[in-house]
Amino acid sequence: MSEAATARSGGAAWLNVALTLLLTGVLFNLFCLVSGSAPITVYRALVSTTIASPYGLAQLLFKATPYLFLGVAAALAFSAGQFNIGLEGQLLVGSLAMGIAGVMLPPGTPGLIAVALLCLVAMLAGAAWAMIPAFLKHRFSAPEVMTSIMTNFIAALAAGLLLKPFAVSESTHTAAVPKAFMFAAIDRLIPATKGAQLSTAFLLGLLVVAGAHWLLFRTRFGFEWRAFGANPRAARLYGVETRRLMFLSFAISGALAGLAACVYVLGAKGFHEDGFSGGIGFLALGVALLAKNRPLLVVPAALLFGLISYGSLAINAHVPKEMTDILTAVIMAAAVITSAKAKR
Amino acid sequence: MTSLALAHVKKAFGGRPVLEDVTFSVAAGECVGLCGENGAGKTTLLRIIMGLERPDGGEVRTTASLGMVHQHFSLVPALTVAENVWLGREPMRRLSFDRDAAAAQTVALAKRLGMTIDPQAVVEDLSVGQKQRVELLKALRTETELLLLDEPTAVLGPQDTDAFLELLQTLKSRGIAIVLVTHKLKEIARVCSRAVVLHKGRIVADQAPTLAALPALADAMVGGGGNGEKALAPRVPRASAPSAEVRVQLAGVGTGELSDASLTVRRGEIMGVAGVEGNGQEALFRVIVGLDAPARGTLSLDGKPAPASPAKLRALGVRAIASDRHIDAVLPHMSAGENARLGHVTSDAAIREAMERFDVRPLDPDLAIESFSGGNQQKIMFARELGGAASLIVANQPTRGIDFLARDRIWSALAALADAGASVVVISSDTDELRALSDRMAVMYRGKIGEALAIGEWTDEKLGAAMAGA
Repeated sequence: MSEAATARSGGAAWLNVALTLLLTGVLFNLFCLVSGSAPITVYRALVSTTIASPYGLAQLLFKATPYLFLGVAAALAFSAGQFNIGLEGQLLVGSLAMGIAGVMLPPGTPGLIAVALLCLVAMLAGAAWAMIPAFLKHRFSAPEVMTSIMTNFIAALAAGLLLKPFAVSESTHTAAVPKAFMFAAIDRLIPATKGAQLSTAFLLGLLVVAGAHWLLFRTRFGFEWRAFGANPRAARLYGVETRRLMFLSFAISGALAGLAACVYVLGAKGFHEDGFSGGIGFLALGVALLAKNRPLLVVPAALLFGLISYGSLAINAHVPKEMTDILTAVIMAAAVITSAKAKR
Repeated sequence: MTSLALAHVKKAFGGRPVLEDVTFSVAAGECVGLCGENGAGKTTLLRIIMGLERPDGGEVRTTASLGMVHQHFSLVPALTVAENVWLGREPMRRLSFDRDAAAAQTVALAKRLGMTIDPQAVVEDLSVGQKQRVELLKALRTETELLLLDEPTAVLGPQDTDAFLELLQTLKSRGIAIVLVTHKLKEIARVCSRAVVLHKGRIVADQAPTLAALPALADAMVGGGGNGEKALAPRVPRASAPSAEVRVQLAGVGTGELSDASLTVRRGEIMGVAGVEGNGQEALFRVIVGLDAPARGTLSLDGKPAPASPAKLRALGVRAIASDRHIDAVLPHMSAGENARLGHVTSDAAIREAMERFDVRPLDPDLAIESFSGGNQQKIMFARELGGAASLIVANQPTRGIDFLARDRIWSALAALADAGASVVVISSDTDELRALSDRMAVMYRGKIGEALAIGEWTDEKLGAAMAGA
């Protein structure tokens, strides 16, 4: 594999991330001044409540965890040229399947086997849901951007409906899965983080990142995957089974989106709850954008989104929460601008 | 009067000099041929003249009004001739596009230049030759005094090329200065009073292109070494004759633009398919490489029905060179090495070796494909396809826009594969190429393939008549 080329463009990608952060910083300062707070006060609050305290840091990492899975899911699909905008729906379907299966599995099942089984169920559910836009694209040449967006809304409504028979009465969530099926929480290892929702799901997320990087840049299959994304016509003419790859890219992307449910169902909450995701399946598209579809760069991008997500709560007193939503939008815009500049 | 004057022009990209001390001028009514190998700096020079690129040093002076015809058509297929000619400079009546005025001005412009064209015709219905005329009208719509032409005849058949060169004579007589960039020295000899040769960014020759001087000019293009005669496309030597065994058989194949097309290609044979572009060549290519299944008729390989799948055919040793590499072959934003790897070459060493064999410059597999000149990108496509064993090679317009030494390498590689028993189908609108390479040749016309004759049996008259459908 042409290591040097990969490294070279990787360097350019890092530079983009740095530029994006710089632009974001400048704009953030402006926001603070506009809302009447000295930027330094806001920064101090941000730092003291997030990275400076074990609890804050753990919460930041917890918020970043789903973005590892979803960011990689988006990056993989985009690398194959397939615009899977249905991550939110795939996550919901995966979460529902995981929540229900978690309750139905005999409570005596050994923990490790249960975790593996439940993860598999969520992945299968996410992948199956992603097959809808893939099939429509294959059969009717329907643009996947449109169809996959639609599957999000269908998933949200269908998941709410399907949840009913399994929901704990007077609630919109499933019963909790047995403690033995859940990931280890951080406060069991580090008591100072008591109450934080971070779990070993974070490590699984890093594993997914490493696996995706290995697949894309170290295997023949990954090379064909990227070639398909770069020029599908050339890929087909020069021997890549493009139809199979189209379905596979949706399946793998959907499976990882479904797997992201483990952060909540087997981590923070212990059950599936209606409306738990709050649109992170959409925000994850921004993570992939910021990471320029490179799995390794998904890590810093996910951390940044985690910081914004948790930090916005921490600095609420100084800057209105809406400001941080604007900030997220600014980061995405900055990412688009800097990467467009790099292309020229 | 001087229409274009360049004095000591210098340009470097990322520290790599592309142009060094380029000095030449073109007078009004003069046609100067600009030639050089792929990557010699021709395109950069044109961009500097157009004002799209700023020189690092030296001076460029041009007349106020210049027009350019690019190597690839830049027409909107769904619009009419008049709409294309005036696109971006539409004659207006109040707030709306005055189509009648546009049509009238198109006819007037064409008449001034001695052309006839229907301004209401839709461009996608036109022949390649007519499209090229529309490009020319577009470049000349504003009293243009300096015309830049980048490989304008690359897409034209012999008749259209003749007509186009005649047209250039008319333009010259009207006082328009022309810079003609082409690999075809014979064309320069026909219409240009001077030939300027670029080699590695420097002007190495600036002289009258008499027929006698052509080998010397060609030699200068490649920096000396006595390879000049290859520019005249001599017959490529072969070590062995084709066998009688049939490898590929198309029987009454119909799909897309192909209708009832039949062709047999033997083992060890190079079959040339001539014809003006747009007569079904693309459909023929797509069927043989497995992109399209024949709707009627059969395609067989070694006597067995061929699978309609590029992946399966590749496993049987079928190799493809696509005519439009940007659409069908290049992997954008990926490295040269990765582009080569899409074939069947797998190790880094093999990729490097294949790139070296086709003299890809610069020889750096890690560079992004976009950093290579067009000709070198095409060489990388050959490195991809001809690096290993092959049983059937289908090459569609394989050497278009490629300099003659690179062309010679490609021809030799195809001949060597045929000598080793592979079958080769070369689809080309360049009859010089087919004469240099083919064992037998057939002509395509309106989706049908005519009778394949031994290359020696095709006289120029016979070939011209077949290409015109007579």
